[in-house]
Amino acid sequence: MANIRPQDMGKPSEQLCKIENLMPLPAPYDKPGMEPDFSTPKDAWKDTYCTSLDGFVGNETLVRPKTKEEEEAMVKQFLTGLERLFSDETNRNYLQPLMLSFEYCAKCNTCSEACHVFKASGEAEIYRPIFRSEVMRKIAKKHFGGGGLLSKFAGGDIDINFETIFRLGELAYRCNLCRRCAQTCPLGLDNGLLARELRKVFSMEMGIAPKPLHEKGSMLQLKTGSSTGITREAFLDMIEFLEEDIYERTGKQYKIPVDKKGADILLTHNAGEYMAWPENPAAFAIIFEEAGLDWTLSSELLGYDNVNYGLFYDDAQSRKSVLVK
Amino acid sequence: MLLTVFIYASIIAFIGISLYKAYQYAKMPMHGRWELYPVPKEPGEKGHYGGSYYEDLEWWNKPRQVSHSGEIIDMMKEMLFIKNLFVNQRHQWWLSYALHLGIYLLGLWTVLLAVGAVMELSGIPLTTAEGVSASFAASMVYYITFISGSVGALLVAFGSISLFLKRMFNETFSKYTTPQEYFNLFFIFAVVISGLMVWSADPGFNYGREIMKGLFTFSPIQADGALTAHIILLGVLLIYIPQTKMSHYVGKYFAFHKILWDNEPNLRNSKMEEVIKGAISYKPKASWSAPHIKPPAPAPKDEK
Ligand code: SF4
Ligand code: SF4
Repeated sequence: MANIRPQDMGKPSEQLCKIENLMPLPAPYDKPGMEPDFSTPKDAWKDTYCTSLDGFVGNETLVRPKTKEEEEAMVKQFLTGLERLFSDETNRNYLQPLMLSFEYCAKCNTCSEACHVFKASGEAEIYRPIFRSEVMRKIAKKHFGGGGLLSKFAGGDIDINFETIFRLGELAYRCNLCRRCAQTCPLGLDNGLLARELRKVFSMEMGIAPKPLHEKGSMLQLKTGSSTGITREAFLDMIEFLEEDIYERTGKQYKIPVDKKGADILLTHNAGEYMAWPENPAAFAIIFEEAGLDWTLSSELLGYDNVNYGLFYDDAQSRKSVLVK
Repeated sequence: MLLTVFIYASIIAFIGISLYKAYQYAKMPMHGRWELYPVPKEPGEKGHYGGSYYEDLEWWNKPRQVSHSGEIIDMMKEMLFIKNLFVNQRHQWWLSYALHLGIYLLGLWTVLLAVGAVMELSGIPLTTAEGVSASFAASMVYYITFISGSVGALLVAFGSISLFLKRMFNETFSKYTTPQEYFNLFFIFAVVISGLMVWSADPGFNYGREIMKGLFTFSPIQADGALTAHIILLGVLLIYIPQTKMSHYVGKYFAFHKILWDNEPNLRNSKMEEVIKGAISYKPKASWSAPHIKPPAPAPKDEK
């Protein structure tokens, strides 16, 4: 479907948007053969997950209901969650920023240029920062405004059906909350915040949140105290491995400082980096050592594992994670 | 006399509803920290490169430094020139700034009409039978009123209709514009056009000063059909604006000051600590329904 508008979120179509004009990658990935693999979504996903937005699945707990009744229940749950978002009982912590960003957007479109998701997708309309926000506004204006002429006049002109909500559950995760859009907004509004508020409805009301954030993220952290399960010993082993790895690749023997008293810089990485992308902490070590900086890592839990996954999608989880620390 | 009362009512409504909006935002519960750097009230370079007190060793033992001037300068740039739009989207800025500058000029014009009216009421006429008064003060007021009123109105007319047309014909803008947003811009345009029509019959804005005199002495205003229509349209606009998102003069304050630029630390014995204690002790009367928030009711325990 070309030329997509926010209202189209509720229109039946197998896939609202096809991503075709991805931005060229920066060097060295712009050379032939260097481009990383880009796996196409599997056909079988269609029956299980929500592929009707852009074909991709970012939220594997957003599962396609089996019956019409279940679909309707999902829409209802979403609307209840939306009401909770706008209530000063259930959304005390974010009501004020939510209301401001919800109410005052002038649709000046300044934020689009700042959004890397929008730009890198080849400016696919559904990734425009105000697209998601406007879908949310339309749903809320219709739901709270009664759906009559007056709410249509105010912009509440969207079908609130299963497909709208289902797609929105994916669209809420096409933003990495970088808040670059907010930095350019002449009114100080924040489309990242609105994306997060939408995630809250799905997570806090409907129990739907991507596993890496919820089950293997905040839940694991609350249970074991660490989002990665890395103990102090395992962390120290990992540092040793990094040193060897750097030596093998570069021929240089670095001693990565840990718990160095009085160092100028305490460097903290996201714990996941050590597990999934050890080359990142390694790159930091090389640069810092070559620059001659007085720095250190810390082997205390808070020093190597201080991520709060709740911040990405769920207030209850982010609060609990702070308490654990 | 009805017109006099109506003008008073619309001005009071404009100020009253705007203040009420501000009050509603101000009394919302304390929100989680959500500041976004650069925060201009951070002193010196920090306010520019996006730093903060967090960079200082043992910042919690040091007196908190806040650059009010930095904050005010940034605020003024944003208010007077719409800086963010200027920097990030110049095309749109020309149109939007025309509208806003026009509104500011009309604000100045309103004040000058009031000044002129007071002068005339106290025996210093701005115009005589021969033309504009020879008195320096009186002629200054007369001419600046003339310039701010005419330029302001033309700018508002240009800004509102050009923004309206851009919203209609620009493919991206039209997708996101609601009927109400078209209506708002057109409403402003209609009010200015009705004003320009009245003005064309009396370019010196003498009718404006007469209205002000009527307001100050609380006496009936002489108005023909065109002027009556203009007054009613303008009054309705004044009552309407603060009820819509055109009241962003309120919203912008909170969005910047209370959210993006609010990085007040929670120090021991500070006012912030008290506010946070108050916020934490609140027991919400409702909750969310997901299983990790509201676990299924536990099996009843044995009581001993
Ligand atoms: S820059 Fe701000 S006001 Fe403009 S469209 Fe984006 S969010 Fe809305
Ligand atoms: S916060 Fe989200 S919408 Fe805003 S610029 Fe970043 S990715 Fe885009």
